[in-house]
Amino acid sequence: MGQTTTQPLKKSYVLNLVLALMSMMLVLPFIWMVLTSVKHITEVGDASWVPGAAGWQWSNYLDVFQAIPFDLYMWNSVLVASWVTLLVLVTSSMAAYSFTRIDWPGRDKVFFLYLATMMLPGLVTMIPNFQIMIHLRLVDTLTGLVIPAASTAFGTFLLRQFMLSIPRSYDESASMDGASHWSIYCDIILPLARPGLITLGIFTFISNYHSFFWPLVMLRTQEKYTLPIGLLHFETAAGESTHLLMAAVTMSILPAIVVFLLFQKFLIKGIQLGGVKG
Amino acid sequence: MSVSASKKRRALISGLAFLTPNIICVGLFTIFPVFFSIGMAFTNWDLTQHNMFKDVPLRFVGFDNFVELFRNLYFWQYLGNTLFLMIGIPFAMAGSLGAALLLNQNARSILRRGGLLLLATVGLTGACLLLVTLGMAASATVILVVSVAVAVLMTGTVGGSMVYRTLFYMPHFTAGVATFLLWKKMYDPLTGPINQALNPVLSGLEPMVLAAPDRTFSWLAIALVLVIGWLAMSWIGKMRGECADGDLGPAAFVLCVLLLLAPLLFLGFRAMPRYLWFPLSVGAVLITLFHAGRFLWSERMRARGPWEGAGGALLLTGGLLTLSLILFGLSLVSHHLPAMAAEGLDPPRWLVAYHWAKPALMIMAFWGAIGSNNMLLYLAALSNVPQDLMEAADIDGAGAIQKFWYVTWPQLAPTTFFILTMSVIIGLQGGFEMARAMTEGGPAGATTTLSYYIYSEGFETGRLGYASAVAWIMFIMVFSITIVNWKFGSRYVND
Amino acid sequence: MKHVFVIAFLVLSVLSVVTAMLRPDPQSEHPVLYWVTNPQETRHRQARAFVDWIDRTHGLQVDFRIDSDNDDLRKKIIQGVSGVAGDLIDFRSGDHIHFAHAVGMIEDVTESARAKGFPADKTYEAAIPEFVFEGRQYGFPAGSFIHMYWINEAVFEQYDLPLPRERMTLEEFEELGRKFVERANPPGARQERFFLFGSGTFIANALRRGLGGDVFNETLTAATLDSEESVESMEIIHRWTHDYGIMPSAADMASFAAEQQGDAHVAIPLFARGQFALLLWGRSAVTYFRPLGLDTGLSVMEPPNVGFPNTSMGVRMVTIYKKTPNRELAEYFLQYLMSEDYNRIIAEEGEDMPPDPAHARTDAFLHPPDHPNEWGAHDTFARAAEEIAIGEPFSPFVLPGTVHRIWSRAFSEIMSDRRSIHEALGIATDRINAEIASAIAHPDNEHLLERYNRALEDQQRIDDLLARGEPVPLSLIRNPYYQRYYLYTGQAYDDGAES
Repeated sequence: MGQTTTQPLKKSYVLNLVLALMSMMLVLPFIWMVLTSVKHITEVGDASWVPGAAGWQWSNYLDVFQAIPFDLYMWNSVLVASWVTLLVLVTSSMAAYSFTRIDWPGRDKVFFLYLATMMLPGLVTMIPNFQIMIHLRLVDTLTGLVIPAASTAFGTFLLRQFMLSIPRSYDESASMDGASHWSIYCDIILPLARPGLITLGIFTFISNYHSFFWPLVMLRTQEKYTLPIGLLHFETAAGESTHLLMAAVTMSILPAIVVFLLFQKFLIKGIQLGGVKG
Repeated sequence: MSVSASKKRRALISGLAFLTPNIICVGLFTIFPVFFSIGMAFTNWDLTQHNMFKDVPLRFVGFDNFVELFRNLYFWQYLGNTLFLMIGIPFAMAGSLGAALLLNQNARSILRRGGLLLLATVGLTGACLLLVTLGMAASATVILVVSVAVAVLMTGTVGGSMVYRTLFYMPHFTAGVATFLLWKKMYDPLTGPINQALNPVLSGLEPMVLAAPDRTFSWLAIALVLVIGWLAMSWIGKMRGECADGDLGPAAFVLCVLLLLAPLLFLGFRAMPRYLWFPLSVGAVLITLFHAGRFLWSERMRARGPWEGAGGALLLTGGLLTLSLILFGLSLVSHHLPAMAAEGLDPPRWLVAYHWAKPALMIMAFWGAIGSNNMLLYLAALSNVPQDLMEAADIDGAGAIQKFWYVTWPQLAPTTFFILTMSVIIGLQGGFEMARAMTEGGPAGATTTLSYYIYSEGFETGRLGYASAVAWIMFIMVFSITIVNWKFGSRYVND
Repeated sequence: MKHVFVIAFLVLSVLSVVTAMLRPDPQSEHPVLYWVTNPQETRHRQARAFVDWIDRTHGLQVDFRIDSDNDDLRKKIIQGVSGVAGDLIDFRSGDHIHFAHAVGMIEDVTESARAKGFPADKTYEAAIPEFVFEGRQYGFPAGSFIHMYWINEAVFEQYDLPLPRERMTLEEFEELGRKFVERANPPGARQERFFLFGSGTFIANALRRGLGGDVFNETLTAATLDSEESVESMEIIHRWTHDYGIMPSAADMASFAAEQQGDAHVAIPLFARGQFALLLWGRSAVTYFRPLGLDTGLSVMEPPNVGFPNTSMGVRMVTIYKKTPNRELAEYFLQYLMSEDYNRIIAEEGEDMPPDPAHARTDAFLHPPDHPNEWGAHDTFARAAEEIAIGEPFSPFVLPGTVHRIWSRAFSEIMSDRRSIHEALGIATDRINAEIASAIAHPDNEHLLERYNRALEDQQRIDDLLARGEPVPLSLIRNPYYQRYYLYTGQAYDDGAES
């Protein structure tokens, strides 16, 4: 940015002010959320955002664990999201390898078909999928949440874009040396595709961490609830205890924020590379 | 020959082998269900009748499900809801673009030159936080908000765009049931912070409205309607000019005019007194016919095809239509304001009020959408705007607005078009999570979108055949948007 | 990267296995039974008592769990057809049981009920239509409820009015009600105190039946909501609400911040505060009164008598899920519902009527030691359940839920003056009959058509006999109301045959 040095100081302050105000508006709900989560029950619903005479009730966070098995929900969510992430990374990277590094007849037609499935509304497939789950006896299991999500056209597409940007010269020399596709995939392409894999991994993890529709349809027993389902259940069951709900909400979005702060470089790159999703 | 054939076969085998894990999953949970669900849409599959306990044969019912769907008033209401919620898209896009422009303008850091400012803010924030922790009830809220704003400003000046970008992106990244529940609590009519903030504002506004001279607000309402008319007519005039120059095809022109006028005339018919509506609509139609006539008689019709320039023109027409709708709403509000003030101005009851539930959801969606992926895409596109174009504009002495309009905006067109179509596609399928977590589709179906309808018919009522039919109607709509995307978007997309 | 994948895979596998092992184990050492029911504290007491009971009487160990997360009709149905519902499922209205039966997800227990001692005729006669279809039994009531008018005696003392008698004529009732409204509300001010609060559709049903009419005809083949009796009953309710102020209108209720009429959290405190003199509720109202500390005298009266004293009975049913792996144990639970252990809990906690009518005569039921203020009420409930309670008319030709929806809509149209009584009831009747016509015309329903035609012949015979003023043999009548009503009026005789 060549402008940086020439930018007038006044303009810069004004810009900063506008940006700060905008971010402020966007962040306000979160501030309210955190403040409400430490209010005493008698002060919930007061006009003042800040906890009053009753003091800051950090113990609300502990009370959440008394009210609902929050740790169990969180654990289920993380477990499911991790499994899906792992499986998606493996299946998508293998497929992307096939689409970029092996010249088999009909390859581009199949890839086009893959792309086309990205356009399908998820709802179209949900209803038959639920019937499949009934027949596989996977309703109300965490396995049933993982398996249908284990491969996505989007992941294949993103990694294909990424692998196309890896120069072929790297693997061609190995191929000359007689290396098999499997070893090229494992030893050359996978390490080189690491940034792409991280990007896709975070996307997959977060979207499955937030996943709502499918678990809502599939889960029945409380021990298997994932966080979104558990939160919704808590909200309908909690009634008056807004402060506890806000504490639970705070704790549930914290991991997402941490993941984002750690990996935002990869994320932004991934979005700009792969078009968009969501 | 045989060597290359066997090589080909080997490539095919290894290619497919690498694809196998993926293809099994996609095949079983995407491709097969798609075909299965087409079949279901033509059956009377009802879980209460056809399930593991009963031996009632499934029957193909042809297009019965679709006929029922088109006759079902609820379907149209829910389709209407879905489309209504999509009015938020242009705003979200404008917000994203604005955020991206600001971020793009902002320098990396002004730390060295802002040292003094920095020290002052640190001190101020510290003092505020101290006050807050000591616990000062109502004023503490104000102090807290101010101090957080200052803190944001401070970190922003130090950290540059990165900080703002992170903050902008946070609502989108955390969006899910958790934030929906957060907003549900914020929208609470009595205990939510939104109405608690609105209450004093409204009670301050009330005497002012009542004190205004008679009919002030009626005249304001009429003035707003006239502004809408002026906007629409000048836009039609401008488009006619573009037609004459050959930048806009005749079919695109007609489509744009219809898109702009039809909703406005319809809404006016529903909401305005007839003595106002008749002269306005007759005037609008006459002016339009005049333009169309001039255009038809003009000899300089040089458009390359009937659909020339349709994409951009439709985009801008849609934007203008949205703006007109807002003005129209303002006009209505202003017309009814004195009567409302006489009864006492109450803040909306948001999610539990029939007419406010959808706007409430749109506001929330807007909050999440400003800093979304769209902003990042715009940022990427902005960094690709050729610098020499900007410099050329600088040399021509163009102002900031002109530079945006004549240099940046055309360069952003492909991105804008892409974002728009993607947003429409997502919007058509959207609304389920919000509806399920916040309103259960209510009040009185005001927030039931097509996706929620499919869910409730399929998974709550158990009418799988009918739900599949609705899902396929949705698919057809999504698919046609995709076709539009290919047809008009292809010229923008080079890669 | 490949190592990362492998390590991640191993770690996740280990974690999954550990999770599966730590989770409250479905493969516990005893068989597990899930009971899908509403989230009430007393359910846990009942569950513990069952575990003790089955150990004592059958020497069986069972891990009995309560599932109150899925206590929603739609969830129960969808989970039922997905093969993952609980072993025992509660349904709280006949409409729901009929729906679940139509879906085919609940077990026919007729034979085992006889063998294990919980056949339908052991419980209240009026409850039977709720869970016996075509002579087959599907479950057993965990409790039956009849609706009566609760009397807050202190309120009558306060306004110096005589206490209502257990059975009053319509004229007496209206006179008392108007007097109350007059004395309790200062003139000119907005009316805040009402004589009676309760579900309007229910009150209308009781009045209609008192006058000699019902939702369906004798053979349940056609809706008769447009009958003279039906119109008259609606006229009574309408004048109670809009002319006399005996009952609150929807607008009045809105000012009480009650979103739904009949919401226990709103109605019961208002009754306890004396805002309503009478409250239409089952015996389970005491489970709300007791925590509120309401210690004024309480008694109950029957719905006002317009000719034939009656009230209707509903049940909270426990059914057995067809896919349960523990059918035998689930049946023991139904057996337990007839046991001393269970019925005593119901009697003590004031939860509706015990499944075993004999327990409504015990001291624990009639005179709960800690609540002498209720003593005037329980006896009336016990007698009413046997003497004046009548089952709902469930037509096999149309889903009861549909009927209920159509009738409620007509009711609200009348009460909000959007339609005249004649018009609204006429439309509702036509709609129900259209539903019946389309159900029997459906190609999948041939057996239904056969039944319908047979019932139509019976109806013809009944109509002929009635026209000639001759008594009707009871076995021709399918509607439980007409069975009782015609016996009462002498228009029918018991021919001893199974109907």
